[in-house]
Formats: sequence, structure tokens, C-alpha cells
Amino acid sequence: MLNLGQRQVEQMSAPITAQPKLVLDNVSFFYGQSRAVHDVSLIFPEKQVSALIGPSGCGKSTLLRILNRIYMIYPKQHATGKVLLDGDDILDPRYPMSRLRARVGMVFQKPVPFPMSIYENVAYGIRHYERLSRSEMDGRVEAALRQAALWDEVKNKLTASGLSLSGGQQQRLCIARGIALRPEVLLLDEPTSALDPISTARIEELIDTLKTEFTIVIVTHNMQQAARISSNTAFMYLGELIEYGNTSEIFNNPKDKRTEEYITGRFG
Amino acid sequence: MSTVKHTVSSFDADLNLLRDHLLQMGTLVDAAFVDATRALVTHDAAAAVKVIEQDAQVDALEALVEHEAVQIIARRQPLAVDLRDIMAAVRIGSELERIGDLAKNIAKRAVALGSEPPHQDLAARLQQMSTLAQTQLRHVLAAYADRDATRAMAIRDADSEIDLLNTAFFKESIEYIARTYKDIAGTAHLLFCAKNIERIGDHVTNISEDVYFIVTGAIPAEERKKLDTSSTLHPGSDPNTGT
Repeated sequence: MLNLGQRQVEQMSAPITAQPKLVLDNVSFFYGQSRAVHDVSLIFPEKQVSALIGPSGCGKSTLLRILNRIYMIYPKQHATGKVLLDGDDILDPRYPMSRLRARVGMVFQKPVPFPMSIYENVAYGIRHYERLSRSEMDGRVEAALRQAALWDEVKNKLTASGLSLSGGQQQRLCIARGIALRPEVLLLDEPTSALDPISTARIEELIDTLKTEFTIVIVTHNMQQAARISSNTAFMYLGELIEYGNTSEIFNNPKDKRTEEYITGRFG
Repeated sequence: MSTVKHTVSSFDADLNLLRDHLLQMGTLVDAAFVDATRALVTHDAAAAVKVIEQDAQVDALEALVEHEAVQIIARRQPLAVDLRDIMAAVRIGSELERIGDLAKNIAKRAVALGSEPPHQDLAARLQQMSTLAQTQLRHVLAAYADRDATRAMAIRDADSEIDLLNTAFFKESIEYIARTYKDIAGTAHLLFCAKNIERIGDHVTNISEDVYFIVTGAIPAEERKKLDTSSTLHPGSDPNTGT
């Protein structure tokens, strides 16, 4: 088991007792020479929602991008330290990318359905990993759309383009696409920032359901959203993890002055 | 409270207005308490009636404080110290309203006593108790205005003095009645007034805990000492122990 330093332990304002799913150990990230994330160590517990908050440019989205190594598609970007997924270091170049993508799904700020049918949007990723019969595939697609709380709205138009859906439906389609591969971790990068309040509520309700099965890490600018849906919250500033702990503690009585100033709107 | 201003300055303006209205309420309640006690001790029924009439202002301010707090919550979605500030403001508003009611009740009893002067020694005791509670009330309002948790806790601890005076007053009153068989109704009124003052002390204590909560985000760890044993006393028992 990873031995966290005293500083990292102190950053956790409340003990997080659940089983660790992702353990970050002294993780730093570099855009070329410039360091965007500084020595972050924290634990994301299994089957809980953990939120990353902080002002723009604080490194929270960058930290999320480290967790599935998506940065590797860009040149001159690299991460140091360890990210242990059930004990396996996923930053180790020997860790197979295809396996990582199957275990860690991601949903982006702007819904980006593939320019294909609703059905194919969900089936596409599955085909990449598994050979299923038509009826098995139908079952998997339906299950993913049901889990993403979209099935009832699309079951009669599965051949329609994914792009024909509303913004909120598109985002739920992207979530269905992400969970169709049955990942263990779901990364959500501001998944509701482009959505209206009703669609946002639907996604939040969905996240609440999904946490029974997945470990979820969400980046959000919406403080109330983080307070509503997450069990743990990390506040980042200038690439550093300032405070991490129980969400209720962070939003009611944060230990660090900078956290308090940020969440109460006294920042900058 | 944080000394750093909000990025949205109207948020600070909203919070300041809420605080000003609460302090205004505190000033009115303090005046009502002072005037009601004086009316009782000096058997001034006209002054007592004035106190009774003015209580409506306190009630109106409490409603305003509640309305403003709800507005801020709805419009600003406050968190951390701001949320504590607003929740505490609603609670303090309610405590002050109760103090206002207790002061009004003293005034009503002053009217009921009419031109009958209360027993001098008992009246002096009551004035002493009231003066102490008035000081406590002013101190707690200052602690709220300054967000001073240390001072708030000192006020909380000092409430036991009022408790002791109330217990002693209860004993003296009973002894006076037993000895003289005089002024029974009047003394009963004074007993209720003493209990009102003791209750005012309790409300002040609650406010001090609210101030502590605003500043620290916690409730005081130690249980408050309660030395009012009047409810367990019988004539001839020791006022300090209730036995």
C-alpha cells in the first residue's frame, strides 16, 4: 500500500475510509517545460463521487486528463509520479492504453456524439473490444442507454443521428457511450456546463445512480453541484492541491483560507 | 467573518444590511428590557405600556431579517462562513424576538402591579439581576458585531451569575411570603419577572453560541453550566445546591 507523506495526509481534512480505487502519488504534469500540476497526492475512493474544484487554470482538468493518459495524444506533455488503479501504475508506459481506456471512461464538457446513429454511438466502442452477436449487442446498447437514463427517450429512434438529440440528451448519450464498455472509473470534465438546468438536474440524478457501480471523478465550476453530488472534494489552486476531504467539511468549514475565499466568492 | 471582500460587492452590501438590521433589533430589545425593568421597579405603568406597544417594531424587524436571509440564500447560494453568518442571523433574530417578548411580559406585570409599589428589597434584587442581564446582552451584541468568539464564550460562562441570582431571588421571595403573608400576588409577579430575566440570560447565551458558530464553524464543546436550581428548591433549602 502506498505510504503517503505527512503533508498529503494533512491535506485530507476528513478521513476517507472507503476502499481506494485511484491513488495519486506525487503526480506532476508538464506542458513542455511548464509545470501545470505540482506533486499532487490523493486518493479517490471506490464507488464514490469525488469533485475537483478551483479557478480556471488551476490544473483540475489537467489532473483529470492524467487519469486516463489522454494527454499522450499531444506532443511535449508528460506526467511524473504514480497513478495507481487498484494498485497498478497506469502512468507506466508498459500499461496497455487499450486496457486503460476500457477501465477508465471519460465524458467531456461539450457533448460530442459521433456523427452516426444513436445505436452506433453506443455500439462503436464495444465493437472495439468485444465480439458480440447482434442480439447480445442490442442488449448491451439498451442496458447502457437505460443506465444513462436515455432509453425511454430514444428507444423508438435508435437509427436517428446522435446529433439530432438535444444538448442534454447528447451528453447522456456520451455517458451511455462511456459506460457501455463497463469501465470502473468515469471521468467527467464539466459535464453540465453547457446544459440547461433541467438537463443538468437529469445528469446529476444520473451521476447519483451511477456511483453505485462506478468510481466517479468530476471537474466542475459549479460549487453547488460539487456540494450536491460528491462525497469528497479537492480544491486546487495554481497547480497545487490546497485541500482535500469530505465534501461537507470543505463546503461548510474549510481548513484553508484560500479554499474558503474561493468557495465564498472572495477570490481575485 | 472574512476580512476579504466578495468579488460581487452587492453580496457584501446584502450581508451588511442583514447585520445592521439585526443590531438595530438588538438595540430596540435592549431598550425595551431596560425600560420594562425600570417601569416595574419604579411602578411606572405609563412607561410599561409604551414598552408593550413598541414590541411590534421588534417583531417587524425579525420578519425583515428572515426575509433578507431567505433572499440572500435564494440569490447567492452562500457557502461556508457566509452560510453560517446567515443561518446564525435567523437564529439570533429569533432569540432577540424572544427577549423582546420577555421584556414585554415584565412590562405587562408592571401594569398589573398598578400603583402598588413592589417590595423594596425584592425590587432592588430584581434590578440587580436585570442590570447584569442587560450588560450581558450588550456584550453579546458587540461580540456579534465584531465576530469575537472569545468574548462570546466569556459571556456564555458568565450566565451562571444570573442563574445564581435567580435561585437566591426565588428563595428570598418564598421566605418573604412565608414570613409576612403579604403582597402574595405582587411577589408572584416579581417571581415571574425574575424568571423572565433568567430566560433572557439563556437567550443571550444562545446568541453567544451562535457567534461562536459563525466564527469557528463549530458548536462549543463543553456543556454550559446551569446554576438555576429554583425549579428544585423548597423553602429552607440551600439556593446554591437546591438541597
